Amino acid sequence: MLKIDKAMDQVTYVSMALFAAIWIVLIAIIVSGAWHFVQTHGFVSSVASFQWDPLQSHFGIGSFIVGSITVTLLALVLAIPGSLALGVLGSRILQGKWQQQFVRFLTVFVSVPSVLYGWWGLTVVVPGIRRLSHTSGYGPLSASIVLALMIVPTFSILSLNALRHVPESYIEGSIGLGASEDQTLWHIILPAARPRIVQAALIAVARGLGETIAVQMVIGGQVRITSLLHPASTLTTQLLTDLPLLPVGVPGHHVLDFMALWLLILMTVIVWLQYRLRGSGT
Amino acid sequence: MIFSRRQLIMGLIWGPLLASGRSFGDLFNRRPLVVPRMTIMGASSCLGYVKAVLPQWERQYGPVHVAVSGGGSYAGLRALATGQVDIALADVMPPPGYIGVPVRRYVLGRLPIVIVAHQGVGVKQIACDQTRQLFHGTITNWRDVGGNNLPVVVVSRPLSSGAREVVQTRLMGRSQFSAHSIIQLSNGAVIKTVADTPGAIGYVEAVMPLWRVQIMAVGNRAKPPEKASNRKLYAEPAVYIRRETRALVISLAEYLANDPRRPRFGIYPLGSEEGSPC
Amino acid sequence: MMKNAGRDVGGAPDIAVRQLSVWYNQMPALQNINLYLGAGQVMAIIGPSGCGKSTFLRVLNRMIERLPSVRVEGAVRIGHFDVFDDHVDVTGLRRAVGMVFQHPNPFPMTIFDNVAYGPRIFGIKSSAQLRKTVEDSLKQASLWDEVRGKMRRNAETLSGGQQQRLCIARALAVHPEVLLLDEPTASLDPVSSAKIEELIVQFKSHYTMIIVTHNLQQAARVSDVVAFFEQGRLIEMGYTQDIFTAPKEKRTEEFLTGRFD
Repeated sequence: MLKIDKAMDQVTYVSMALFAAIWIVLIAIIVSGAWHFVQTHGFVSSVASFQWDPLQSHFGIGSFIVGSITVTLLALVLAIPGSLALGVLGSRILQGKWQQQFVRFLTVFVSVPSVLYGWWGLTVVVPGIRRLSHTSGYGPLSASIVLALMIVPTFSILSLNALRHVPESYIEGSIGLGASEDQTLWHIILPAARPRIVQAALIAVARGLGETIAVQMVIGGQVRITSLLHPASTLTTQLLTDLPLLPVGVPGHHVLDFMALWLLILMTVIVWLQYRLRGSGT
Repeated sequence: MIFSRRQLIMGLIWGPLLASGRSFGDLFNRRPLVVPRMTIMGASSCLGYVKAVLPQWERQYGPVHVAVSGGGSYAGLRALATGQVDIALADVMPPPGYIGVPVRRYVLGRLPIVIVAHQGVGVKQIACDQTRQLFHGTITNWRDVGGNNLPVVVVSRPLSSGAREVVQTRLMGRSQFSAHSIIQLSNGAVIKTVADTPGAIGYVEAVMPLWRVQIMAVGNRAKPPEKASNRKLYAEPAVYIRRETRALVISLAEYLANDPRRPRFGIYPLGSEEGSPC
Repeated sequence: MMKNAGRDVGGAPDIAVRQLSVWYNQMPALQNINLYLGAGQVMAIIGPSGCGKSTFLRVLNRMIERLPSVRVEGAVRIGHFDVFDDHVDVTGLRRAVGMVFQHPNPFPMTIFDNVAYGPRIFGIKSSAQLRKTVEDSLKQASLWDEVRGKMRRNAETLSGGQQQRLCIARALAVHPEVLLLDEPTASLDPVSSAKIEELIVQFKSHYTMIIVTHNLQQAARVSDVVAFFEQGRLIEMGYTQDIFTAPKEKRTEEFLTGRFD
């Protein structure tokens, strides 16, 4: 029996190793493709260049990196107030069955496919921005608004849980001293929940960074970023746009690997930040 | 315990692997199939036509199954070059050396490309020069071509689009599209954007009814799209096959290139070319 | 105990409870409680678990209202506060009636910020004034010597007993008149417990205090008056010495002698 157990253990380890190996292979494909690209076109010169014309061998992806970071950060900034407000509403104001219904309601929005957010962006956000700014309405600002709306449900459910996890004893301590509910919220609950809220924000950012179709529908798709109000692109939208132009085997195909690698790098930064920022606090 | 945690882990890992391994095996194992299979891939502008006329051919040639997928002209040609597909559909001229294997090209016909604008721009005819300048961004207000006081918004397609290639080479020449132009991935998206955005101008392949937009007459002459074979702005969608291929593939390529139903899908037979307006 | 009535001891108020009943979701938690505690006295509440001791404490500073579906009837007066009057200043009431909980609950911030929390809430901004209040409160809670120079440390680095004394200092920093202590030593070791008991004895006559405890010796050591609660009712109340030597009620005697079912 023991022998069989040992053999089973080994088979399990081999299986796990194989699973890990598949992941490593997937990442290795991207890294090796990106390596090919970097060898011919250079790392710094590609990242620092804003000129994108793959048919003329100009592979500057700086514009897309800037686009991705701008759109995602702006979306986060736009999403923070609303998400925190919804989180406070769901965790500290609504009680019992209303709270449950509220969480269910938010969960429905988490599962709405992103193309619907994109469609909503086309019918509401783009015309709105057009009217306010007298531009076409397509651009990073519209994309940020759509993205913010998309990450608000995820962000607010996670913040709601973060706020719910603040020990009741802190709150009782504060109320017992004569602090009002509002003072307790500002001075005790929000600071105590901050590490988890930061984590929630970074998960939301990760989702926003990877989002493609909803952003693509409203960002305008221009290859050089000039302002928040004029068409631009992100790493993901340009990958989608130029995939048909640069299929496997075509010279220049590996720039897509390089762009994918940049998405991985930015994602890794987010995960790293998550560990760093979670460390401070409780 | 009948079902241990270990067995669960192993099952969850190996199950999908074995299943996918089997289908990969099918892919590499080129044993003779009972039903002959063929694959077509390429430009989305031709897919409507191909899908519509395929069933008749399949019935005619007995048990044969044809799989059709989009992905764009370049991806289709690339897949033909590597032998992944039997037939490529393309509405671009591949750059020299792009395919790398000897191929045969069957032109399906001409797919008119129409300049469209938002219904509120206030003009219906523009000269070739003006069109070029509107797309380039030199003319920034419709007022300057006799229309309403509206800023010009250019709507274009990505580099992989056959329509863009045609407009670039036959209309724009050396000038580029405006750096603020909106890039949309499909004809449908261009139509919607042009229809919804005041002051917008764009171009589409006329494979669909063009409503809610203003069809512009370019070069001081108004002509309905049916006469578009006389114009210079057209894509030339074609079927590509390898020179060395199965007889069945040749037969399908010839069938696609000759079916009389093409005009219903916006593809008009080659005609005599008139003097071009631009 | 009526002999102290009305006499003001160091600003500490007296407490009068009349016909107090509390229901949670229609379930009675306290039934018809009547008692009077003289100014500056220490009352120990004893009784089996679930007898309504903690509920009683939470009525006195209206913390009970934070729970959903609670109904309170009757009247409570603490000094000049008519506790359940609609127009009473709840913030002022809670400020005057400090509370210390069963488990030490310092806020996740520095030692200084913990003690300064109350004064800051009530609008004190001058850092000199805050420093003085914090120092005084920590000295009063006999914690000053242990934490001086470590004011910027997180309060959670302190030991359990220190944390509880920090919580007492935090309560003292807003200058309360009444202290409610809900089993303050239940989670502490004997040495730490002894320090807390010492504090309670020191505070006598400066504050009116009510301490809920499961430790009968502790009740005997620190209190002037003992109240025995059972199933939401006040069974007996009297001077500590009388209760422990000659209880009037049979139930009290059974509880004190451990023959309690």
